[in-house]
Amino acid sequence: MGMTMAEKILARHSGMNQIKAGEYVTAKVDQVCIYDSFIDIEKGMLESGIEGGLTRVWDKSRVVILIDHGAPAMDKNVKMAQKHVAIRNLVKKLDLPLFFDVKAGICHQVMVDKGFILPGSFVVVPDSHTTIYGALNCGGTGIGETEMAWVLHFGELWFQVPETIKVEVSGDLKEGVTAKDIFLHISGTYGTEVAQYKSMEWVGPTIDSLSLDGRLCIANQSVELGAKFSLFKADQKTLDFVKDRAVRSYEPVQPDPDAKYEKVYEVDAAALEPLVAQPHSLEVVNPAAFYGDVKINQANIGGCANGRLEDIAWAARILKGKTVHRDVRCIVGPASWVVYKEAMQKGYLETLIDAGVIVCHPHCGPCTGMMGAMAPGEVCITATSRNFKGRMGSPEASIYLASPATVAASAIAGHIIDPREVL
Amino acid sequence: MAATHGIAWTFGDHINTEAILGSGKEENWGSAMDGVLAYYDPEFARKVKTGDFIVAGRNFGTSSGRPAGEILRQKGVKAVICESSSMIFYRNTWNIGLPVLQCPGILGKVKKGDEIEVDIEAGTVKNMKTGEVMQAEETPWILLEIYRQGGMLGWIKGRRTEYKTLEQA
Repeated sequence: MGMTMAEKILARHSGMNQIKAGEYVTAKVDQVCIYDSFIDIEKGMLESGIEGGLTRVWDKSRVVILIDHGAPAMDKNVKMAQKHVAIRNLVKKLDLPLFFDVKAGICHQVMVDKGFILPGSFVVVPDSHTTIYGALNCGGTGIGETEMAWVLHFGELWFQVPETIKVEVSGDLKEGVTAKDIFLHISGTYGTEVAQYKSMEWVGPTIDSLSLDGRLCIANQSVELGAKFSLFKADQKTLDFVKDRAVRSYEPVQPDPDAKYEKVYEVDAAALEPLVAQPHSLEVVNPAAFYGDVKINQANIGGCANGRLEDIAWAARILKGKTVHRDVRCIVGPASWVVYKEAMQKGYLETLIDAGVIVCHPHCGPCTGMMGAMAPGEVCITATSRNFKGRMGSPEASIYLASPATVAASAIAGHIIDPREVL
Repeated sequence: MAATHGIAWTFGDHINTEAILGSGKEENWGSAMDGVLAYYDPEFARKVKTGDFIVAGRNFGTSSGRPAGEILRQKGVKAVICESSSMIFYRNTWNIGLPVLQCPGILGKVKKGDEIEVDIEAGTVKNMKTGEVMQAEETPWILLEIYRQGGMLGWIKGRRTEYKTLEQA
């Protein structure tokens, strides 16, 4: 019987020829990345009486460690600084070569930049947004810290093979409508449990025409739909991207023509408008114009959802020659120093700075409130990953979530607008 | 393991890990313990007692993969019973030894303050006031096995002999 991409990746990594949804497998992992919680893994082991904590890892070439959440330690937070010291000491103890400290950027973008994410491979990270790797045809899924302790020991983990849902997207996106709006359409139409425990496969001419940056955004955000995996086929764009950066050989997976899908959703991309999700979930979504009377205090673009070159290009295109509204702080955070440098070389950062944007260093802050915390009653529109209550500081703040284009346009207007009004 | 009795604390749909941890307070566990679930029930952190249960709606524990279940365990919560649970939270929480039962319809059958009896192994929840018994969805056998061995770290201890230390390698 035919297999979906998720089934093929799990089968390949479990040494099986044929598996199907519902079965249990033990899958070998190609690569892991651990950020700030690395030290919590060892701490938990010691507290539960595992002598010596972590004493070695199963394969040093497969363990990437970095610090990206509060990086460098900020706000005179001595506890955070001490945590970073402990991480560095643990890296030394284990003699791990792939350590990027606070110097590389957000883990998921760094993994992509540095060629650790490869078609057909299987990667786990103790972070929910690990689904992002599906954009490069790599099975990526978030796991817990205790599970990562297991993986560091044995290089494998148990999984129940998920059902797969297919999303077929066709039609040309209108000017000003982006990958983020495709995701918002799904979450607003089908709810944030549409893919709970499931794998998603994104196919169709619109998906083929999306850039890798656009696909990375959708795959990243798929976890907000509950997805275990969010997979895209490897096409020429994918292969060109990984060609010169791949850390090891790889073999893409394709779904079989007779693969079994639990459900198929069809999306007419040509009918989509720039969309906005209102506080405090991603389930209530309307066209940007619907929120025209919502005044904003802050506008963020960045994180692992929208801190890539295409996102920053949108911001620069819209803000070129304009000024951020006097009542608005606009924060743009490239996802890694690789992205930052590219944005600099293309002149985007200069354009943004001239417009009054706060361009920040690559880290998770613009998405988590570690940078640009919100006061009670304040309103933020953000092109990051989540709009949940308290995500950026006060639980009495309101967070609207939209595409980089919609956020940049709103930053100029001082209230939420459809980006096509300023294109 | 025998069934245990406790008081139910009820919560709605999509309660996320930020809300469970009191967002942004993870660097300060003390204030997180005081702020657990405070966005939705300010009484909870002060009044929850060891042996109580959380009864919640759809998608409980959505959002980040941080181990939010740990704070519930430390508060004395004996199990989470919800309409459905977010994937990473679900595995994470079983792995730290706190069971999560997915029991569609539960929120309509149990009210805040009701005494319930929960049998983790059998996956049953009984409302002591109404006498009604509800059956949760089957838990993957691996998670039950991990739970019986004291969570994932207990499971690792059991297999540590297969794992060479730096000196042995």
